[in-house]
Amino acid sequence: MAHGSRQVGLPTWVFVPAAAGALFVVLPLAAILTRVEWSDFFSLITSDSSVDALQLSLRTSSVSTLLCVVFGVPMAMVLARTSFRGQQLMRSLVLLPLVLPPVVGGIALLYTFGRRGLLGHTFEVLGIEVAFSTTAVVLAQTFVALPFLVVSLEGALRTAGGRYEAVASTLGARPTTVFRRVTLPLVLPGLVSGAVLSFARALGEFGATITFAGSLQGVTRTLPLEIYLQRESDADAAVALSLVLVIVAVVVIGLARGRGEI
Amino acid sequence: MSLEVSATVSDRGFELSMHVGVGETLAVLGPNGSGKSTAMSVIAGLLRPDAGTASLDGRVLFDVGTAGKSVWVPPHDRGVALLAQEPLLFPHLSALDNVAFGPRSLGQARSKSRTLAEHWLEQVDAAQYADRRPAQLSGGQAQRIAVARALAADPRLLLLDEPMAALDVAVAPAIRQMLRKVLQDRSAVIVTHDVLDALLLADRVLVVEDGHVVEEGPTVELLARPRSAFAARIAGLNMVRGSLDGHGVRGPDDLLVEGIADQPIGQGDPAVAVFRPSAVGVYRQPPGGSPRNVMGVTITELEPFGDQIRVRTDRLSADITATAVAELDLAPGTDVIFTVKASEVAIYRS
Repeated sequence: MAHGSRQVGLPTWVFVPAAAGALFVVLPLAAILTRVEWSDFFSLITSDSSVDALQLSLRTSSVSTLLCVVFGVPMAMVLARTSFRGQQLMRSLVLLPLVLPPVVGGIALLYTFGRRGLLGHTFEVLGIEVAFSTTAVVLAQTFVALPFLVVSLEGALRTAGGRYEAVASTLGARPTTVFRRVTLPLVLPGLVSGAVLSFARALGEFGATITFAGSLQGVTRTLPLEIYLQRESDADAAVALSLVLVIVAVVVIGLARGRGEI
Repeated sequence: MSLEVSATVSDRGFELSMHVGVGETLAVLGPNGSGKSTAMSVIAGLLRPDAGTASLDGRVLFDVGTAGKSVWVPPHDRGVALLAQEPLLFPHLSALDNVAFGPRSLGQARSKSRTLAEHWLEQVDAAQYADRRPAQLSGGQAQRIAVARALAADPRLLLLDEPMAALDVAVAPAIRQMLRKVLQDRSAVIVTHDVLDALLLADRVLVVEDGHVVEEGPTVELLARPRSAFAARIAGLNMVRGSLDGHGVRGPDDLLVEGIADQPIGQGDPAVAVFRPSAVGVYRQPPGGSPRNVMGVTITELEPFGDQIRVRTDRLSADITATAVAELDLAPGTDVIFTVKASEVAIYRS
């Protein structure tokens, strides 16, 4: 406890379920560590299929995060700084992927961008096939990760409030200048943590990806898919790759917390 | 005329018009929630009124709610800078960059903007803080820099919304002095609670209550002869509003206050009687002797006021010595008699 701070004592019994809950989270991670074949660890995570999957995951997650920023920042601004009829409904819809089972998201995407989907024909005419391509992986990841960025940033925008922006505008700054020189710097921590969360979510994406993009090595088989497949044939490899994802997750949370957010 | 505005905001019960002459500083006084800040937001372009028009230096700022085309100039294009209660310095910029923000936004080159910023920091005696971040500044320092930032934007009209309200009492006088200097010959509107701000900074005063202008006039005149309850309270004067009856004003509860009118007023015309709390005598029993106004009141509050005690009652105030308070055994709830000589009461047409 910080020096000089005082707080009302907690009921003693609270510590029991709290400890049990913490254990519930930490124990499985420890279990992975006990099962890792340390002697083969390096060769397991550097096999062709593993490296392919890791590279694909990092590449697609980066692009997804970029897309989340490109679309999520304007979405958060519209949600936080304007009011219009149906805004609540709009917000709920935008956040839907947060609670939607990813596999349902994958099916939805399939019937939007797939060959027989809503926009499938349009894309076919343009000579673009989306489903079961790396593009599909990116779309699936963006679909599930976008709400994280929007929620994070909208919160930051609301906390920052519109008063600095109002002052900036009375000083003669056009809306774009206000956005660039005032809004963006003020919410940068929120934006960074939102982007980090989106990246993490994209990296762990499984259900929507396997439904919408399939599992083709080097094309659509991301690390979570690789782990799932390896589990059948080579449990040691699956455990090793799982550890890699755990490490990435820990680094991501560290980055986000380092910004004082979350 | 520099600024002319009249606007209605229905859901806030706000309907007022005001004007500011070229180089004139107008003080807007009024109780909390009276619509002063609403007026500032409307003029700055941050709040769109339901109806109204405004022009600044002959250029239309807005013209909305009337049939036909509506005009709405966005805030950044109005030449109206707003200084709020809190400095609201951009936390990620140094003091100098904060001040340079306006010139930069108006298209000045970086170096020119910085030169301008340095100039304005000097004008508000804050040049030594140029490199500091807002978090490293005290409230008074930050407000100085906020003033410099507003002025650096070269506004045609400066709006100050209670600029001293959030400052330490100890800092306010210095800021007031600084404002007095920079507001000279500048068109400005200052919203304030403090009669001193009005007296020292403004040429003219506007009193707003419930979204409406209740009184308007040159500062000195208005503070000497307040006609609205709010102006009287801040000027520290007692005021009885009613209609002329004989040589006095017949107010609520049949209270008659006799006094001296400075101009002829017809019997029954609306009038107001004004007198200083220091001219009021306080008694337990009705006194005899020379003709005076005698008013029965109930004490609500006793508070220190300079070296005297201000006796507040349900309708009037008196300033008496602490000794007198003790001798009369006064306390909230006590019924007492206030007296005031007719020669101490000024009566105006209201």
